[in-house]
Amino acid sequence: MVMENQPEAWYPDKRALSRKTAREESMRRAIEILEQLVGDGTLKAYAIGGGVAATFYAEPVLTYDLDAFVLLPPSSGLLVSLSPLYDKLRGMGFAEDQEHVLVGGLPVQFIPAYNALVEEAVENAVPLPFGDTTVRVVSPEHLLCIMLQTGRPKDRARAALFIEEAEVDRGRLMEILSRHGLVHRWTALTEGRPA
Amino acid sequence: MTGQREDNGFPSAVQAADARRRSQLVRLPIEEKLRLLVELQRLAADIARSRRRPARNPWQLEA
Repeated sequence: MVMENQPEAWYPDKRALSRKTAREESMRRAIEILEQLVGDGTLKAYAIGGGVAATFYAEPVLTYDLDAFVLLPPSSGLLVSLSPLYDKLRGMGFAEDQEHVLVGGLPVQFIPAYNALVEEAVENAVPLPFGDTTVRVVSPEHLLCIMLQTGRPKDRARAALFIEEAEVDRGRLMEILSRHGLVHRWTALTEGRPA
Repeated sequence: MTGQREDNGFPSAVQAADARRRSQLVRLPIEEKLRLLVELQRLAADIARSRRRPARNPWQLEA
């Protein structure tokens, strides 16, 4: 069994490190669209969340969509509607695939900020470099809080891995956890018991 | 096999190698992490198909 002398380049295609890939181009396109939607007022703000956001801070996790948390501009009605956003995307030529919009083959899921924690996560998103552009990503502290709040088995598993790998500001994390009533969930996770 | 064993019997050398590899993964550029993510999707689809279970399609990205 090989354990001690693992090769440095253990992944299969080292040349791919410096090659522009279809993934990079699709992601870049998705970022451009999100920025454009903010620029023209269709969205108030956005932040990448979910598994792709976690991948910015930790090892890649299996996910099938790019979650974009969005803040919508104030509307006259009481209900939040994604219709203007989808109308705009249709007008730009993007196809819908169930709950996603396909951007260069990348399934993007637009999720309106559904509670105070997610709203705060979008407002405090971190601009991170992606190639020669910048993308707004939910901060590691907010991401961890959202995982704990959502609380599905896969979120708890991700959270456990995330706290091992990501650089998390513990002071800021505790402040957010307290403000959103999530300290008990954090304690349960760190003590390895169900919330 | 060399390497000391933890109390649970899992070889510590395997744990150490795993930790090293995960540490490498964390430090990769995001562009490379996305490439690995699509490989993970393909692997998951292959395994699901081989077990005759419903497979989710990997991202079909356009250049």
